[in-house]
Amino acid sequence: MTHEDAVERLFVEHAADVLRWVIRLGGPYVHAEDVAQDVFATALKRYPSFRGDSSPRTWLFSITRNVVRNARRRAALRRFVGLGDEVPEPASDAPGADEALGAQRRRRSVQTALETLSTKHREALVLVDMEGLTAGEAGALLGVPEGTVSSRLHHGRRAFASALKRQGFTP
Amino acid sequence: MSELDQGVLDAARDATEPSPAEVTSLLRAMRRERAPRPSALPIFAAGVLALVAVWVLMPGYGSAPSGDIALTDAGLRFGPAITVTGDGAATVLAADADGTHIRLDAGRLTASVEPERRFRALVIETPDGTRVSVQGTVFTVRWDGHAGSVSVARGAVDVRGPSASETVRGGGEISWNDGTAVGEGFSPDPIPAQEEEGGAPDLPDRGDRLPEPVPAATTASPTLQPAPVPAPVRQPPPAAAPTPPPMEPTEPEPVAALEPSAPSSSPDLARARAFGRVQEALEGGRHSDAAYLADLFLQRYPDGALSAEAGVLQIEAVAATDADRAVKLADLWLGTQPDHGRRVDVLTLRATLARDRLEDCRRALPSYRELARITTGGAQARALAYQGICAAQVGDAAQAAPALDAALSHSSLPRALAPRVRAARDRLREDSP
Repeated sequence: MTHEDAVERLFVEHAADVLRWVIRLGGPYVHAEDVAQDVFATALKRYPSFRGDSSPRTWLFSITRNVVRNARRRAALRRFVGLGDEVPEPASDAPGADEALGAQRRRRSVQTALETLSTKHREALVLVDMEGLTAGEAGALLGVPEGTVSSRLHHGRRAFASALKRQGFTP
Repeated sequence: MSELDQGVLDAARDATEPSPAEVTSLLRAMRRERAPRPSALPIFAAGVLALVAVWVLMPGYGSAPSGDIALTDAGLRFGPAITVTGDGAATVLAADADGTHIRLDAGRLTASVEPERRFRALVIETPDGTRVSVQGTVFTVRWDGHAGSVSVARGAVDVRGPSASETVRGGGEISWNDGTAVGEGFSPDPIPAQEEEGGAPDLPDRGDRLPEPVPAATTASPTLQPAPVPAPVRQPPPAAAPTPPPMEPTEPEPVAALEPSAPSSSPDLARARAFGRVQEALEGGRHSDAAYLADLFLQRYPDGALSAEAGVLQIEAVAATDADRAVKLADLWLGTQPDHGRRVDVLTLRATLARDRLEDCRRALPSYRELARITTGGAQARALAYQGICAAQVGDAAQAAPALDAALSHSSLPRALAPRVRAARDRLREDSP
């Protein structure tokens, strides 16, 4: 099996994870599919040096985290200088378009709320409250002690709850 | 769970779960990306021809070893100044008057480079992408398949890679593994927690150390000049330390006593923290602070992988307030970083600034041309589209028509951009005699 085949297999297994991480960490202004593809391209490039010290999922997360960081910075800059890249638009004429539009808006509300958090708070909240990791596991991924994750989580939850409220987001 | 209702959290989780259609679309796009690109062949062929031409024309290197080589203690010579010995396997990627580039595939390689003889550069690379570049020294590189190390007997070498970024001086040693646990590229994370929770660190006093503006496109900003050769601080003069024969053992010479090797973690951490401050300022939208901090960083750490990355941050920060200067900084960065992984980002930013902020399509065109050549997928489609639109705008129909046609037939052309491309193509047809 070539490196490319191995990475493709890895990515098929974890495509949903990577896309979800990008949606949650990337915010409303990045093209989730484009960024997920960048993650794939980076993984392909780095696969020869992947020794399996960490699980493939952890390895992909660390790549995703960095790729997302760069994508967010670019998107923020584009917005700041008024160049705003095209924001993904839901199809309006396909069957079930209303439903898709509704889902898109709900996602956008959550992403906008997450956007109000600092990177550190957002990462802690996404990993623990949304991805279901323990504070210790999240700390290992982020390279910080468990206590730091808990502290970030505390602040992140408060800010996220207020932001969701402002967005009018309800269950 | 402080103030965050479980029901709301569950709903937020569901709302950000990708749908099966989105996952399928991603997988389809990835497979498209992996399709072979026939257009790469002529470029590759041209590269090979250029390499052959250089090889033939450069005197003194015609007999240098090439391709796969076995390292032995008998020694191999590359030009007048470089002798390589060792035990293992390597591949010569280039060896001419412009420089010697060797990949150490496995084992040990000892290079002896005579500083007094004229030569351009020697780069030893390990399979994980770590590069050891040399200015005049005796040093050994080891690679065991997963981990590498460099020990320097004399002089200084610059080690840059996914898991190592340091200038190692005489008597010093650095080791790394192939970086899977470190994550990607240049991220300085993790920064120690006790540093983080207090919010953004205070900015240093600016005093009168504000960076000078770049005066003109042709004048290099001090922060973006090519990394200088590490100064041989506290190195003994060459006469005091005769060059050992190439087959000498590579243990540190007595010079180590003159220049104790500092613990590497401390300066690395300081560098990572300083870089993190630039990132934080940029991510927090404090663009002038970010520009200032990036400039300080580059003055303090002109070498190493993080410096190239800090150059990118500096361009991004400056772009927020001064597009013209940002384009000039981008030109300098692109000139000094021909193979950097962030090249596409810098080209994209440069092109967009020139086109939209400066309304100077002529200035944007070279970036779009390069982007169209080196990118794939949606990025390539966008580059082709804007190359065509810009070329049409400046009246270059010969460049515009094929770019617009290529964009229109590209499977990844964004829907939002397609009408503009079609309109530009239609106008071009109407205008053509």
